[in-house]
Amino acid sequence: MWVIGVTYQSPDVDPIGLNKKVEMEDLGLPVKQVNTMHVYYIQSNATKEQIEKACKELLADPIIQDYTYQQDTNSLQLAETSSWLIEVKNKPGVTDAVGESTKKGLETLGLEVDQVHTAFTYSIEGQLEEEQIKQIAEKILANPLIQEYKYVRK
Amino acid sequence: MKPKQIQITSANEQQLITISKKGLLSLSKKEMKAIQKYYQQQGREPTDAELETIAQTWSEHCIHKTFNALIDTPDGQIDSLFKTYIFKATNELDKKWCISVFKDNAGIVKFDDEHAVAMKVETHNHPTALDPYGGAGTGTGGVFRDVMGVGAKPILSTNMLFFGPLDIPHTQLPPGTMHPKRLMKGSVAGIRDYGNRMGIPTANGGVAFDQGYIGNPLVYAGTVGIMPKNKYICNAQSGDLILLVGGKTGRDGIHGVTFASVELEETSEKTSSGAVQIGNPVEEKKTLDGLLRARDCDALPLYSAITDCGGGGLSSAIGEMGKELGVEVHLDKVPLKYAGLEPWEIWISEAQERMILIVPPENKESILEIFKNENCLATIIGKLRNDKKLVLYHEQDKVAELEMSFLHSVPKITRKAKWKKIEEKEPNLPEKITYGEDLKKILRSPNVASKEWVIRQYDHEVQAKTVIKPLQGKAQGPGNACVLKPKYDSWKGIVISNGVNSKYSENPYNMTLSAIDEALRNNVCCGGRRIAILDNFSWGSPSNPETMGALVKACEACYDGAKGFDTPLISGKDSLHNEYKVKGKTMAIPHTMVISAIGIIPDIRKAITMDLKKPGTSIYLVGETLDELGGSHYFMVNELTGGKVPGVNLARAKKTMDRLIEAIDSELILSCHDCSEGGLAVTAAEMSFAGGLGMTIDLEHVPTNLEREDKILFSESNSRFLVEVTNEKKFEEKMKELPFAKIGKVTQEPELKIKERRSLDPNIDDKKKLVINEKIKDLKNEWEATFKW
Repeated sequence: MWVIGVTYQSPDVDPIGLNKKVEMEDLGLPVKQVNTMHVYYIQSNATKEQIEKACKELLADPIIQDYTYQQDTNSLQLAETSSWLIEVKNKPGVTDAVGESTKKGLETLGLEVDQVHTAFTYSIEGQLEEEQIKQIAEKILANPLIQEYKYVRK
Repeated sequence: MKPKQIQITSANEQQLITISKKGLLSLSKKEMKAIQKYYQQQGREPTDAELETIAQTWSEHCIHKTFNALIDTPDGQIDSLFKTYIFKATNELDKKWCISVFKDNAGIVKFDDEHAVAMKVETHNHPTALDPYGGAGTGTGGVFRDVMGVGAKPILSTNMLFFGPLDIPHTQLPPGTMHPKRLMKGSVAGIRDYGNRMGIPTANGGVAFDQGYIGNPLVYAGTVGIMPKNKYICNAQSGDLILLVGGKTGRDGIHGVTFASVELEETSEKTSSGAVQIGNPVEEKKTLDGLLRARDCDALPLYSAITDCGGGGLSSAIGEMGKELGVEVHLDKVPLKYAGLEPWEIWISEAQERMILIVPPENKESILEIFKNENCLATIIGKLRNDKKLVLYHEQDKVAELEMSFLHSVPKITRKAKWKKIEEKEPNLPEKITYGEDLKKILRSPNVASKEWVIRQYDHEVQAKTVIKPLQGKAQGPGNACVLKPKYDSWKGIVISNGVNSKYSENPYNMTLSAIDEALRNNVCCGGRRIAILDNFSWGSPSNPETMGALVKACEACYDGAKGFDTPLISGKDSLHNEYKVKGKTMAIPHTMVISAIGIIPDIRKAITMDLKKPGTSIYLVGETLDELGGSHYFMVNELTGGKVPGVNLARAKKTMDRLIEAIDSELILSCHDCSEGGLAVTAAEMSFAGGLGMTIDLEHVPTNLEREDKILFSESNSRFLVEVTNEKKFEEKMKELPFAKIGKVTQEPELKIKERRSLDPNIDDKKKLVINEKIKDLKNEWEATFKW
């Protein structure tokens, strides 16, 4: 199992983060910054070189994005500066269309892949209480009908 | 997995209702009893798959129960709204250029000698309420497939969205609903991602807001497609194979169709997870590519019939295809996303991106090869029979066997209709000295305000066919309609427009006529003629007699409008039961009638945009301004209700539009914009700031009996056009016998100046005071402020 995280080099080029920040402000919450990361959980015995290639050629845009990857882990420890981290992903059984396309893309690059799941993490800077983080998760980031979320405080 | 039997033959009425409710079947007592009787005669109990099949086939979504119902009205009984109004108009008009109407997934009309265009509009309201991104996205993907389902290639995506007010505080939202802003952002993203990723331009549409949509947003998605005329085929024979192409089947969207006939409740958001569908545009693109190759690789398509899997999934698509002949399906052959689905779940799943092709056995290998090359799943799952039976197998087990004659003999329902008294009391509003502030308020109001935030997210250029785009003029104003040039070797174009105004819903007859008039005049403004229209209803529950009465009135207006304008209805969609229960109280949406119009322009080089072009040219107002401010934006911004909802003088409206087309063809017109929300004042403002020029208007010359300036400025009377005219003499000749007048001219100075109707001294025109005197830049800023997200 490989976990790949793709982040933006600067918050100015992170359109989803910028949008979500405005929505959090609409809720009246004191948010300073939101950084997003696309996360790919890849079930594969691929080599480090293959994963590096996949990041470069398929998953990250080298102009504005950075990537990082780890093997044999279930979560990525990133975004050291943020005070909260929320991860949103589809509930089991809900079609992960991005995951399916990623699997096909990886196979085209010559990797052998069993399955790909995707998730989205939001690292949020600001003086926020746990209740407010739940509110953000449910009102803005996740649709509880089809998605689940978890959060950690730094 | 042995088929489960459901005990109904000995059930009493109450138990029958419980079975229907528990299974989310949405079958009424009368329908359950008809089913019971059938199985008593058969001497056995139904299987779960059979009961599900019946529920899907008999759902409002699939067979339009209400539109086929017997309706008791105060003026006598109506047998089917379809037969009495909708189909009747089209049949009576009997246009030779209509190729397929109300029969297929989409309406098809002639484009030129080789090609035909297909159009369809669908609603996807309930799924959007639950998951705006997925709901609006799959609504869009679904209507693309409707057009693909007649063998056409989608060339335009259009949509109309309706939400609650954007400024409502979270605390005032009914429990279990999403905030209108979240719904809007999610819906726009869903439509954007589906259209952009499939490479289909989204170049037309609208967004409107009303208190009534808080608990129940509406999403209409429409598609226009083009196809060679001789590739339209519907010739299935018994023995032909059933080919399922596209995505895999999962548990998504189970009961979407029957769920659509249920009122949303506070708990809907949590309990109806199955009703949400997940879209995958890339999958659909591959399906489309395979389909077009199968269509075009030989003189005749490799398939003998084609349809899409929409609401009701395989059960509706295959049930309909096999109606005349009978059909058998091996459900275990259907490719699944994951194991563990019950046979009936496979049968009714609304998993997206799937289509059904009926293939003559001799073409089997070549068509499988095509889809294999496109990297798209294609599986033979059954064949057509000759005994008029629907038979389902799962591995060795027969899980359903139904007679088509029973499956398609839905018990006719009876509805009651009551006419609601139409209040037209004029509100009391003092006159003001100037109306600049009112104009600005209307420009800021979300229905009128610039939707650039939405428009710019959609790719409206892909396929390189879009001639007239959503924002027009060097300074960008709101266009009337979209013009496409579908063929590279012909100047002929397609004009697509919409009409809707649910603020008129107090008077459903006038509201519908107004929507038809608006759709047509938007089309005519750009040069569209030979127009066909699509009727798309979103209504509250038809079991409420007043709601039902409003539906009857709207259908009556569809008939009168279609006949009066000589424009056939070619396809339609009804979404009823748009209600929402909060704390035991039922809230219904305003009756919402969307009319989509598709016209033809012989030469797109003569198409007209709405922005002012040339300083010094004269401005004409065509059409009469009446005291019709009921549901107007002027009343809305002044927080008033009442007044008369605009009606349509059909004979005169038709003549006006015909003459205007002649004037466009004779190149007498530089720009043209219709008067709709906000009336004359808003139209003048929009034309001015789109062109970056100014306009002076003298209200004295406006054709009207009205004296009050505010009414002349803001009345929303139909069939009116503001026209920038190059050849005045010829234009006046064309318009004679119609109410029209030269009311002003275009100015270099970027200001909108509107003079009062009466001046104290009639000899000194210059002394007339200005009721509106605004800088174009300020008006534009107001118009753009609301959606600067």
